Amino acid sequence: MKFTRFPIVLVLLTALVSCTYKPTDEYFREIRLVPPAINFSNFSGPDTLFLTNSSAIEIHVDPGGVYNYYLEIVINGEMKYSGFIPTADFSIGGYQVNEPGTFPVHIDLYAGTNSGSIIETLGTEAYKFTKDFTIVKYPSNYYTQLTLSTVSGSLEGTVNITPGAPPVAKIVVYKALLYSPGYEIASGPGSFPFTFYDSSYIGENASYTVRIYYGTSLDTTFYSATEAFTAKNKEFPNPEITIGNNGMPVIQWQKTSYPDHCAGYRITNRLMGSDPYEIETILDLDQTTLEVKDLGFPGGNGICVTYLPKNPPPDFSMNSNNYSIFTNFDIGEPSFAFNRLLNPMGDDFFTIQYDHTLDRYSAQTLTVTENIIDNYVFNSVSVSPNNKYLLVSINNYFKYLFYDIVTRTKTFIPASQVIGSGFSQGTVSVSDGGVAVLAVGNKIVLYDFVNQQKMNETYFGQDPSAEISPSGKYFFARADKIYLYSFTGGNISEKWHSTDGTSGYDFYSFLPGDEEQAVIVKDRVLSIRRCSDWSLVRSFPMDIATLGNIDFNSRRIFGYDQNYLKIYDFETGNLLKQMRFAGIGGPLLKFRGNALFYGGSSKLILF
Amino acid sequence: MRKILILAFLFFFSATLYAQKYEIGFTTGYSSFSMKELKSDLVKGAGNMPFESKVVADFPGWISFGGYALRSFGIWSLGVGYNFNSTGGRISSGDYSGKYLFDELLQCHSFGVINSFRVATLGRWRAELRLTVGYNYSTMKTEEYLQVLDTSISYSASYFSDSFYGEPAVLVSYSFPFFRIGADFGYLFDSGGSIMTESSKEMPYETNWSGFRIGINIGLFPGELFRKKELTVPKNSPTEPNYPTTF
Repeated sequence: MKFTRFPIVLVLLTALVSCTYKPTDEYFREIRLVPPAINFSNFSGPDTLFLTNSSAIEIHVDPGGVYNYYLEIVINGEMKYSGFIPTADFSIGGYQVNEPGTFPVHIDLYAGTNSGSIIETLGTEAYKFTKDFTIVKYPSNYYTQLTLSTVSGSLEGTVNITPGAPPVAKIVVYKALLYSPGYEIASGPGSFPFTFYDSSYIGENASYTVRIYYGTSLDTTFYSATEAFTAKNKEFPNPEITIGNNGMPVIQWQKTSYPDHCAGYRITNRLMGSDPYEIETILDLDQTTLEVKDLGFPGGNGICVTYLPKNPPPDFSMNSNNYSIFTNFDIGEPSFAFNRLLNPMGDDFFTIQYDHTLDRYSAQTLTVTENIIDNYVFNSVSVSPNNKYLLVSINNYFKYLFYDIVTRTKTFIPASQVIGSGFSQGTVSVSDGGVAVLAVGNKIVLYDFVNQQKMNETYFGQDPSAEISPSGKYFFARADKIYLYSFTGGNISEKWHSTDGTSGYDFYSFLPGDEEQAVIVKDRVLSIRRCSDWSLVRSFPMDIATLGNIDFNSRRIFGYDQNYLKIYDFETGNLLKQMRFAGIGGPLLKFRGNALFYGGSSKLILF
Repeated sequence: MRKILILAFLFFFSATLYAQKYEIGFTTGYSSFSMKELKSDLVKGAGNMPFESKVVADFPGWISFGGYALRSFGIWSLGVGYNFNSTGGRISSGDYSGKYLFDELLQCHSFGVINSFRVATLGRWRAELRLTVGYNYSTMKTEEYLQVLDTSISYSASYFSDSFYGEPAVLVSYSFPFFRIGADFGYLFDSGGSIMTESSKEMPYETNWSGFRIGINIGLFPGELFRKKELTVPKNSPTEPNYPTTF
């Protein structure tokens, strides 16, 4: 058989052998390269830089894109730096040259394109920028001096430089109250001594910075500068406080030494936790004393005198300490300390400290007449409205102390005898007849401590508290509502209850001299109502946020809001007194008689 | 193993030559290939390139060719066959600065035993079911080329793998006095072969030639061809030549 008879077979074999697969497609990516606009903006001048060992020139390059940078710095033919830098900013420092002298500098800055091309990936593609300039390194054994002195009521400054310094082209003086270097107040060419005046200076705390620009011509961009810094301390001493003839504090300060530049004095006060408020602004520069009114109680008053400049600097602030002097002053006088104060009618009142010390005080002498309890931990204390009995629930021994204020006799009664098993943390309230209402869990127990017998009890939907009338004929209970009950013949009957829950009821009690009249304070309105039919006797509003207490001895009401303490007349509702409030209230502030007592051991006589 | 199979193929082929009811043929066609692991590796490789690149050839289907020899036993035919397949993959990148190519070029030599059953005959048409089982010997060559500006470098390496396969197919053919033309369609199942370096170090990938196969084949009947001279009938003779009895 000859294959020449089948040429088709040969053609087919040849074709198939040549059909072995071989990829032919290729991927080509179009990349448009935009050369960066490298701008050696700092080098627009004569390209001679003056340096010392401690100075360096920041060189900012703005390439206008994202690139990788590689920098080479050659100084005097020697490679001083070569490596990648994170941004196009770098610096030339005097430390890069060992000895003083003049040296050529050559900079090569490579900006990698970040194009993603094959050649860029291999790290062999970058735009190259070069710059040549000269640095002149000076010895470091020279320095700038800045001295300040007062001349004819103005602050004069003198700038000098020690020998060996490079040529100076420009001097700029800055002043700062807050952050250096602040703002420019003077400038001039580089001749020494350089003298300047601060026309705004009136003795305040300030700092002055002199910036020396080195070079040979003013008509250039400055590349290198050194600074001298001088602080000027406040010249005026803190004010003094004396008590004037009328008992009011008088503040005294020093007259300004810069009458041409001082506009006056501003007196302010700052109470604890509050913003300062102005007491008075004095434009008479010769006045250096002021009787300070409108101070706050309790706590400290931070009295401030600010010297006012005629030409305030740009960074001047009225509340800045730079121009101000301070003194602290507490009004009132020392007194006794307490955590709570019980204030019945009569010649006594009682104080509680740390829930284990109960003292009886004479309201006349404000001295302790008897230490009633010292070592017991007690929970609730009540004194009868007309100062007949005192009742204390003692926690750590599960008993009650029934104290006869008139005879000064103490009777301890086990809690189990009064309320059965257990002991309650609830409130107690005792009447002038010795009958008490005791809050025990979700009930109120009426107990006669004189005859030591339980009289009745009543239950509530939630744990109540109670307040009994002088003779024990009525009592208020606070649970889900405010209730008024009568208690006669051993029977409890409801006389009234609130229809709006308990919110807003700040006070509910009875007149010590007339238990048929109840006193209610709700939503800043005091009302007196008849217990028999809940009819209104009288009412008046009070502009207070918190009711402190009602002193039935002086028939005055004490309350306060965020900024002011206020005393109202109980009969008329008239505002009798108002003064600044320093922010410590609650049970630590009580009014009795003519004085406001602060539990932190001070009192302020208001009437 | 490769030498043994080649020798077996030649022995079988020579032993059947010049015999009655024999057929030798040539095949060509189109094959698709799985190459799952190599495809995945190619995509990963493109993703790991430091510059943007793409897979531009992903082991596509390609033309195959081969030959076979058969001996008929009634409706059953037994023989041997050979097939050649090739494919490849490419990662490519190019830009103004240069170009990069990474090629994986694969070739496969398949040696198999053919079992064919005639299932239908209609005049000169006949249909067969065919099962071929055999051995694949694969070669792979990687070529890497990088050109940056006027500089270029290249690198290549060779690998091999072997595996076994089975290929069921359907064949339809039309017969002439000395030959027949047929078309077949089937699927090749490849056991997969681990790729080895020339030093027989096993690589973490394997070739897999599984895929559909379509083709045409031309079969010659040597017995009838040589007998033709003896059976030549004078012109105008009413006698028709004898067709092979296997038809």
